Amino acid sequence: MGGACTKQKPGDVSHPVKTQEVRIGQQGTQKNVAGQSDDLISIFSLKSRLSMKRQVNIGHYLVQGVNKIEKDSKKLINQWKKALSQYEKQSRKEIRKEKIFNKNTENVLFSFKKNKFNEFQSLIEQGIPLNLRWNVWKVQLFNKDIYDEQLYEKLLQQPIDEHYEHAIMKDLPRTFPSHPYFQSKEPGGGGYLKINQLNQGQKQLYNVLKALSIHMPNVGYTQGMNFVVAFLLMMSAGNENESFWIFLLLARDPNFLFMGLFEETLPLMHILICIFEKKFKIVLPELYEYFQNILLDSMLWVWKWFITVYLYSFPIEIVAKLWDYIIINGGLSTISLGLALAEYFQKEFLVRDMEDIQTLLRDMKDTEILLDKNSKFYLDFSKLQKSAKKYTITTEFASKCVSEFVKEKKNDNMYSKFYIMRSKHEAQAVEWINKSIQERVKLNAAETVMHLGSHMKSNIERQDQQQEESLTNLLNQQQNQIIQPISKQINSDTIVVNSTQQQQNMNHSDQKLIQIQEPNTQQNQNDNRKQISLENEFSQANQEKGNYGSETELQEENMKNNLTYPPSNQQQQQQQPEEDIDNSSRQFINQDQNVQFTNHNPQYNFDNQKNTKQSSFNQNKNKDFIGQINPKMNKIENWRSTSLKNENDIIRFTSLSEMQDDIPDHVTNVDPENSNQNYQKNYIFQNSLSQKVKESAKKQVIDNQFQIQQPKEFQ
Amino acid sequence: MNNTPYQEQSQEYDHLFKLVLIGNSGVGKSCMLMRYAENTFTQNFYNTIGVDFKIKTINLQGKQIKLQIWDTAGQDRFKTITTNYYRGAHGIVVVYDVTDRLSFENVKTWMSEIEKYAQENVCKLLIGNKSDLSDKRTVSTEEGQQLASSLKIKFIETSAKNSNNIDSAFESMAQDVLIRISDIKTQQDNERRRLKPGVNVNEQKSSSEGCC
Repeated sequence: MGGACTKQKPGDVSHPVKTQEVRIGQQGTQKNVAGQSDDLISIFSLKSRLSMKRQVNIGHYLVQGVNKIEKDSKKLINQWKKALSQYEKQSRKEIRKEKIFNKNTENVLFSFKKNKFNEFQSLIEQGIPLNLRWNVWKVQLFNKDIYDEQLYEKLLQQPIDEHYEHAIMKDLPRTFPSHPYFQSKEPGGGGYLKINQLNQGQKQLYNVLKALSIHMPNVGYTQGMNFVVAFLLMMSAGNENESFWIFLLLARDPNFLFMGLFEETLPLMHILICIFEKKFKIVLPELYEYFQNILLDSMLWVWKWFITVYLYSFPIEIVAKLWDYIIINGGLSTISLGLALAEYFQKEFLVRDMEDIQTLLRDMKDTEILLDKNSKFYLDFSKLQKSAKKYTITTEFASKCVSEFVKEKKNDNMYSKFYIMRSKHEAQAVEWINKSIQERVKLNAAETVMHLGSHMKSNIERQDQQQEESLTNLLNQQQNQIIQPISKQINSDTIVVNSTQQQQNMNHSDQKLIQIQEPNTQQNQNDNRKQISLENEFSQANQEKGNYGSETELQEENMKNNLTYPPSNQQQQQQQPEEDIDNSSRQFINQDQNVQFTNHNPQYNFDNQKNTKQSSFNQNKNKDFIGQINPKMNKIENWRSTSLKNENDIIRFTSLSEMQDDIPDHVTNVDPENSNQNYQKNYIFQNSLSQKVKESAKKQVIDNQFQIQQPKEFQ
Repeated sequence: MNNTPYQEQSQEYDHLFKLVLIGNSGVGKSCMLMRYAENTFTQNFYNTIGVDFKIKTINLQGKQIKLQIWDTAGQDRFKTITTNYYRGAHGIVVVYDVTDRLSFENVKTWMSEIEKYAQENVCKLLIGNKSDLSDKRTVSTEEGQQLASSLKIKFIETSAKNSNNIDSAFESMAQDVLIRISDIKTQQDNERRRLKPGVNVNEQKSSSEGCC
């Protein structure tokens, strides 16, 4: 039962068209609820600068959720207003220089932070007004080196690992279930909701968690992330893209490295807890001793505080303030806040036994006892902040603790290395960790190939039966003509897609290949760039041949770049001196699978036009390189374009390298609106064909894996 | 985790039993515990992060028994943390969801975790939860029973929602632990009387309250 639900879900959510619907829905709702803005377009946007004069009421959902939130004092608001307007008047030029954000306020804040950091920091210490909080966080965390405007949309089109999806779906109704934004429409019987039972907040939560799990395959999904993402959605007033990016920036920024909180073995958790305990023993010896005596181990309290960055254990209003402190002071300040909180409640802890402490800790999240000024548990944040400052963790202290920890537990990892290295060689450590993280995230491509099988399967399963029948009829009429042109290679790895099992086989072998071919660090970047340019070239060429792109536009672009499209066989071959197939290009040819795989990405449905400029730039840059490998590409292109003449003629070959071609072609070459339909049609078609294809394929075994026989009539 | 201070601190009870709830994520461990300890049921639950515990004191055969029931996060990657709590446990309850086939299939994995981390003669119980959702059921009662008998452990189906069998499940677990403890005590006494420095005496002393 549960399994059956799961299979349907990936499609429903990751379905390109449906996702769009969700988006539109969001805008509508946002308008209604916030009553202020329909601005859901990326506010981070580097390129498009749309006029967004109206302010989004940031943190709106937060206010809506809980009424007890303290109103920002007029004094605080005026302080910020004054500081910012003053700065804006004085430094118009400065601000204009770097207009990164869409919102004026954010540009002002960004420039303010850059040029007057001390003032910025002291303002933040006074508190951030609700309306500015999200802007300040964004400005503080923004990193243009890793920001990619389109990444989130791209990720949403990709399939998600079924395992993670299942886990995420289970947690949706268990994430802030009493907050109106995430409250389930109807009580889900077993807690497991179907897609149509999700409310807007839960859908958004699903989307962001999905994108994160795809983008960080080393993380996937860990319970706890749901609270963090949900919180970010609340704070951003339901902006998925921004929430995604804030999470990602916190995950990857060397000052935070929160990725380590959620990786399989929770490596950063061990480090934070170890530093915490060492400092705890030093600064609050009485409480430390007491907890030791009553056997209250850190798992029961501070562990939960850290892994959810306080969200699991405190009311959101408090957490927002804790986050203000963490975002400005870095990830290690999570520990100093933990110590400050321990000190703050020390008296209460010391008179309670383990059970009562447990109850108190639980009550801290469930009720609002921390927010009521008359309560004896009232949390005075400025007091807390002062004591957190007192317990600031220096990099030296962290380094010492971590190296002891590594020795004791023999538990060495990327994060421990970083913390040890950092105290002495800050710059190198940061550089090193950035690289290491980049590499980890790069597993993405290989991982996604692995997931592709399940995605294709679910697509096929979703087919309308009638459609299938009509296509089968078509097939019967045409089969004789079609089977002819197929080239095949039979070995254990090369089978036509027709059954789940076979798909899985394929995916395993693909994965191996890709992993092996994953080039090392530095080369990788270059290669990736090359890849991109190729992809674009590819999709352009296909576009034109398939009569789907704007021909004139492409020609103009190509004229500028002295490249002729469609590239004719002869021209391309002339461009390529035979001896020039050097190592790099060979490597690249091997990477074809990568190239073609990334081509799968339905983003191209939407982005082809946008990419034109960029790709022409890349074409220029990599012209020679492309020339070298073009004979092969050319063959494939020719074959494709011709075979695409009749939509139903799409039938595929069997060599391993070509297998991965299958999806991108259908997707890239068709009109965005119909893309999904075609995509599905083609699959059905292939599916029903495959038996016959396999039979005929067995008869013709071709040794050369890369050789593609062209259909006779096209040779 | 071996010696709780409560054993010395409080006189309100005769025995303290530590039970641990394990099983896949979302099978209803926290809801069961909530139902048992506080007799409430809510679907407005946070998913459990790490570990948590609740207390319930019951009367069994004229003895006051304090149950300290540990609730654990079900996600695989928390296992390294949660398995730490198996060692001090007198009883471990493996929970699956009768509407979630996968959670049933994973029972064996959870059993092997118990083999690995818990004390040798820890009491075990298999629970199929959410028995109220009969239309969504994918694991039949017979299958549950078969599995339990092949594993040689007790089995019961419960519903935290309508409170069905929850009390009896925990009480039967407590009963088993109690029996095992008195077995061990008589064994120990016998051994002492015979003045044989048995191989396991030290072990038994250190966990004289335990069933193992």
